[in-house]
Amino acid sequence: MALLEIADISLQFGGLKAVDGVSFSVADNEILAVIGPNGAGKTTIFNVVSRIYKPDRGSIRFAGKELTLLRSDELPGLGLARTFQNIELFAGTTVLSNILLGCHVHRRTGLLSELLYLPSARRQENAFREQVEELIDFLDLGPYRDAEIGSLPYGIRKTVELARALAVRPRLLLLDEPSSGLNVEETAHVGQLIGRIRDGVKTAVVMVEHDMSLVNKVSDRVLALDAGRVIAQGTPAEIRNNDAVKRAYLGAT
Amino acid sequence: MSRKSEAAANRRDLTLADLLGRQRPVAVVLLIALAVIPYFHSGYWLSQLTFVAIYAIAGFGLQILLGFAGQVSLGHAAFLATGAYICAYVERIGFGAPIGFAAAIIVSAGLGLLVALPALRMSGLYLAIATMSFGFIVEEVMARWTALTGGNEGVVVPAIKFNGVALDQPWQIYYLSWTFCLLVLLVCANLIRTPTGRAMLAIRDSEIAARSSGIRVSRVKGIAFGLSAAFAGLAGALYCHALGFISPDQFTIAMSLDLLVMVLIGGVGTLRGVLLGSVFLVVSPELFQQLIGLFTTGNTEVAGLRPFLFGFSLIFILLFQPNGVDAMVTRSGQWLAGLADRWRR
Amino acid sequence: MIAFLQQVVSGAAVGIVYALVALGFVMVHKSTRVFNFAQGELMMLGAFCAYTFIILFGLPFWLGGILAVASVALFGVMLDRVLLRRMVGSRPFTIFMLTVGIGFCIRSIVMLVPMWGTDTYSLPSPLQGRVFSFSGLIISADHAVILLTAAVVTTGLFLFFQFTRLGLAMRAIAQNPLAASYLGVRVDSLFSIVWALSAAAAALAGVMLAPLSFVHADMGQIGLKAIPAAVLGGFDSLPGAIVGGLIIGVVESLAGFYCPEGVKDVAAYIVLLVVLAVKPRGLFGHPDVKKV
Repeated sequence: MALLEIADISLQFGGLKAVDGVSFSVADNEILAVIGPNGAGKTTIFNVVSRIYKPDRGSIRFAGKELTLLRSDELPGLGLARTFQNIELFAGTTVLSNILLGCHVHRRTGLLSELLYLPSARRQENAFREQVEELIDFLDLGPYRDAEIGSLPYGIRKTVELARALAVRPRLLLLDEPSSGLNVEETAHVGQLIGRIRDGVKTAVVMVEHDMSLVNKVSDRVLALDAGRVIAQGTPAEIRNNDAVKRAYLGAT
Repeated sequence: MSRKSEAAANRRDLTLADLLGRQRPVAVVLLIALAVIPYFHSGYWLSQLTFVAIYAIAGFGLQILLGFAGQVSLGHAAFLATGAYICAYVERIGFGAPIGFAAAIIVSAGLGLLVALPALRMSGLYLAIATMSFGFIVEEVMARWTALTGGNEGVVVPAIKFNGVALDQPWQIYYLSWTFCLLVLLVCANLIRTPTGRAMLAIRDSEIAARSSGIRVSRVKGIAFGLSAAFAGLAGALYCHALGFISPDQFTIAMSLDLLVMVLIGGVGTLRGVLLGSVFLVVSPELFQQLIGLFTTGNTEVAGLRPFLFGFSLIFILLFQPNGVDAMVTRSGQWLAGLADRWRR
Repeated sequence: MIAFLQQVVSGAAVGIVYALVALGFVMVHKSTRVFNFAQGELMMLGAFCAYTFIILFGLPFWLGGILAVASVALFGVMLDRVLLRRMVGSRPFTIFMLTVGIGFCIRSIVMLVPMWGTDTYSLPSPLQGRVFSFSGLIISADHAVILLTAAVVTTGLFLFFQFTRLGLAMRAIAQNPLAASYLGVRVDSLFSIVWALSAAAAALAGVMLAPLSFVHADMGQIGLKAIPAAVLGGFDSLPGAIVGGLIIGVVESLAGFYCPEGVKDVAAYIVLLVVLAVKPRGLFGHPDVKKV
């Protein structure tokens, strides 16, 4: 059974059909890229899957559970984490604190043991710090550990958001435009990271992307959308040569 | 620190020593000073310091709600009033102080949770106005519910009775207040270095990202309101004993605004700022009055000086030092530490 | 029945004063996203200025009133240019606390001015004591003038905001001051005009309220009642503020007549909490949706 199964999802905003009968699936450990022109509904699908929007109809099954019945804060507990198109970091705290918040889903202590800082709370804090340090090492965020978010360059902020999502230890990672705003080197670096994430911690990745070189290098499969509908699915090579995809991007030839 | 010990330091939790950092010697000195002051001074300044502790407790509560969780409360005096009146009532009908204090904290916390229910759906401006309205309504209820509160005439508060012993000396209330204050400070420090406190900060900065990280926003907001009200209730219980007499006109929007002024001037989001703000709140009006008295002849008790001082200080801080006195102290500390380092070399 | 209508009419008169102050709140919030906590103090300042011009300087009521409104309007412009201008871009809560500080300062300065201080003064209007009678319904001339004047002013302000280019520009700068300025809108001047109008509205309310409630430094608390009025309408709707003010005024008046003692003082806030519990952004408000 697939890790994530999207079946016939539709969502309408007023008169605009943002997503129209979209179905696809994601297997364990695979990297799926979602491409399409602006307004194709890519981020909307992400927002539906992560339960920020409620779909008009359709079902989303993840690890056997029906997501449309759950709230967005219940998803990390199942192993689903995401990043956002415009970076939603916690701007008033440090990098360390942001990544520590990704560990929140692994919390086992109650309020009382936290307020009294009982040994169980202390042990949990130590465990969290260990995990976060590993992530900081993995993503080379060491120099920025105690920095305030506001002072960081754009690329570092994207990395911090990725670290926070990884702290959830997800089975599925949703990345919304991981390379947007990054230059060529940074984009290549992101590509390597995504590969290492998939190989190292066996996490499946779904990413919305515009950068086709990144898509071609890193993804196992590609899903092409246009005007809220799926127009093609396949390997990067198949999608590159697909007529429907070419029409969507370049117009009728 | 060597690189190896620095790496090790990053892999473990924050201890209290870490949180204090280079302030450790200062903190020790202050603690000793606080402990011995009653031997040297009783009367006016002792009672002022007692109120610094009491307002700080309420301030910690407000800081949790406002500075950590980002929820604006313009009616916090209502929780202080609840704590004060419940404690006074419970003790008047014959129970001892421990029951009185416990009742004050529990009822206030309950009221806070009650307020949290509708407040969950409100934000910013509307939440501020709703809490302000709540404050006005509680104030009126306190004035009308004469069986509980004695109405507009107020009520005399019995002395604290602990195991049959009456603790009504100013120095006893001083020690009691500061012990509670330091305990509350400790609890807040624990809160901020554990998941629930971090979750509050997350909600303040981005509710959407907080939810996406698995934080149950309603639960955490409820905890923030409950804790905040509980601490204010404790402050109220201490307050009624420190004054010996309470009446509804003490717990007006003026007090709610005073608490906000304390947190803003001290430094939003900081624990040390609450203590600094409380010192400002309690001590500066008197100092300012005496300063003005140096220049004017005749009566020194001039109405209008206190709001002027607070208004002017608030405007000054917000325009030029928006992170409050706490940030100023941090910068001075860094400058001093830099001097000390250079001197040592 | 007559008693009921009596209460409604006198409630409406007070309510329209709340509506004026509420209009000031809403004007400023619509254009600058600022919640001006000092609005009540501006109303109080208007009353004191009117007292000074009319009683202390001996000017006729109408002239003193106009001068009072003009003075406070100028004061509002000064507040904008000297203080509020520096806070552009700050978080709304920070600016709100700045207005709290401004309110403190205004109140304290009024208390410290030797001619004013903490006493209560009476400011009788020239129509004091005269009443109109409509089939058993007695309306005091004061109330009638308030209703008429305030109705004219509030309608005028609403039309101004809704249908003139200046009003349109003011709504634009609230949405996006930067874009508005790129399009040639003189954002700075507009901010000052908005503050002037808002302060003038508050001052006018103060002048009209003074004969009824006397002039004293704590008058600003009455201004706080205008907040429920503004919120009832959703804090971004000018007609909503007017409707809200009238509702609050009438509810208060009826509560004073029919309910036990004390309910009248908090009736406005009870109504507000009930409305917010059902509609967390006011009767006509719309939710802030953030796009991620």
